[in-house]
Amino acid sequence: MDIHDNLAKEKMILELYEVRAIDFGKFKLKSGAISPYYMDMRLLVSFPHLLQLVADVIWERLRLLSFDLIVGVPYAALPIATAISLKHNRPIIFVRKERKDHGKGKIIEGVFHIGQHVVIIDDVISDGESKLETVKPLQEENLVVNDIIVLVDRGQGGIERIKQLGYRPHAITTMDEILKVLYKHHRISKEQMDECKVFIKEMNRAGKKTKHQKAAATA
Amino acid sequence: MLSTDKKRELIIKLYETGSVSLQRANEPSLQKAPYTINLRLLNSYPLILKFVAGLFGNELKSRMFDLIAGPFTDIPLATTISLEFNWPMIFVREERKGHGTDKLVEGNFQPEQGVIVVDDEVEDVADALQLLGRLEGSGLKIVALFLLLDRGYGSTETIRKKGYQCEAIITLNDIFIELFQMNKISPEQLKHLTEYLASEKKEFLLRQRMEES
Repeated sequence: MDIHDNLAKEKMILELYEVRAIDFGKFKLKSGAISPYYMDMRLLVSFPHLLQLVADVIWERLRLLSFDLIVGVPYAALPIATAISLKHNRPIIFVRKERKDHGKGKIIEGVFHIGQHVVIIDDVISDGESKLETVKPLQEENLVVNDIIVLVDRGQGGIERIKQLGYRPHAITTMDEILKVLYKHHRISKEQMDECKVFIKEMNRAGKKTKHQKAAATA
Repeated sequence: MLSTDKKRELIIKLYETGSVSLQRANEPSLQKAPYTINLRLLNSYPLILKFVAGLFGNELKSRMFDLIAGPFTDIPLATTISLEFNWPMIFVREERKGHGTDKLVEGNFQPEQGVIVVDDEVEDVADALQLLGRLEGSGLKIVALFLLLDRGYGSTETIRKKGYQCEAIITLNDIFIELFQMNKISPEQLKHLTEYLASEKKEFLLRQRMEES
């Protein structure tokens, strides 16, 4: 990636921090663990210029791939996918989060044809589980999934997992890089950065442990 | 108000994308309605989505509001309007069981801000009222509900009766008449379609009355 892309990326990270799409403090996760940072890319819709910037940064990676359709994953990535679609005139489809119980209960919305190549766009990747859930209904409709682009890799093994399964993952940035940029520009302290890094490492270890346990249980 | 030219352009686009399609004469059909409407198809046509967003923008730009809001089922349309006109947006998510801490309204907003809700159409009046209620429950003020299509069964009137401003860019009747003028449908077909619309409206009103009593 050339220097201009990195500048856009740094600007993006700083602005995400500015609107508190990346926030620091104490946040209780669904697992019960307390996280020192929190990401909420659903906030992007309230800042159209930033949504466009994020879309532009992702497009720099996306434009090098060959694909027919963009898949936006609800909720956070759907506006991002829409922004890319509008600017570069590429069609999107999306996988519904909820199943309609009345009318046509289609899980994929939009126009698509058998054999088309799709690229999935999502906001973050943790262990990769939710990405695989997105892939399944697409493959059931005979769409070809090769590439998966995420804005932020949390560093919890999802990228490796997806790679092992034969897909090509692309992370625009990592939590590690975000921390470095924010520290470099004095938005967070050294202590805050280190606290987050320790937390990510712990989450990673815990994730591997449960996977081993699962593997042992099935063996 | 929508100009005649823009209206015609919109109707051609809806028809050509298959977002609004008519049952051909003598075609055996399993469904009751002589037409099919799937406005979500527009999401796969970026240029048309932009065109539709432009129509919304024309109607909205003279009004006073702080935010636009989209229901979770139609995030692309609201996002397009937001991006085209640089209006901040929020969206209402579906209710999720289990995670009580999840917010129902996503995005950045303050209590007392005025919101215009944008949607392709009202498929279910109860759902629409619930959505408006959730926004109000979050402290927001509803300025208006703005739709692309009003099928004309009576759902917009029902919402208006609840005290909300509710408008649509186009009605199903507009579409039929325009298609008739373009010779896409025959006089008999038009008659059948308008009769069907009238019967749907009657049924809708009957259902409403039963629910109210």
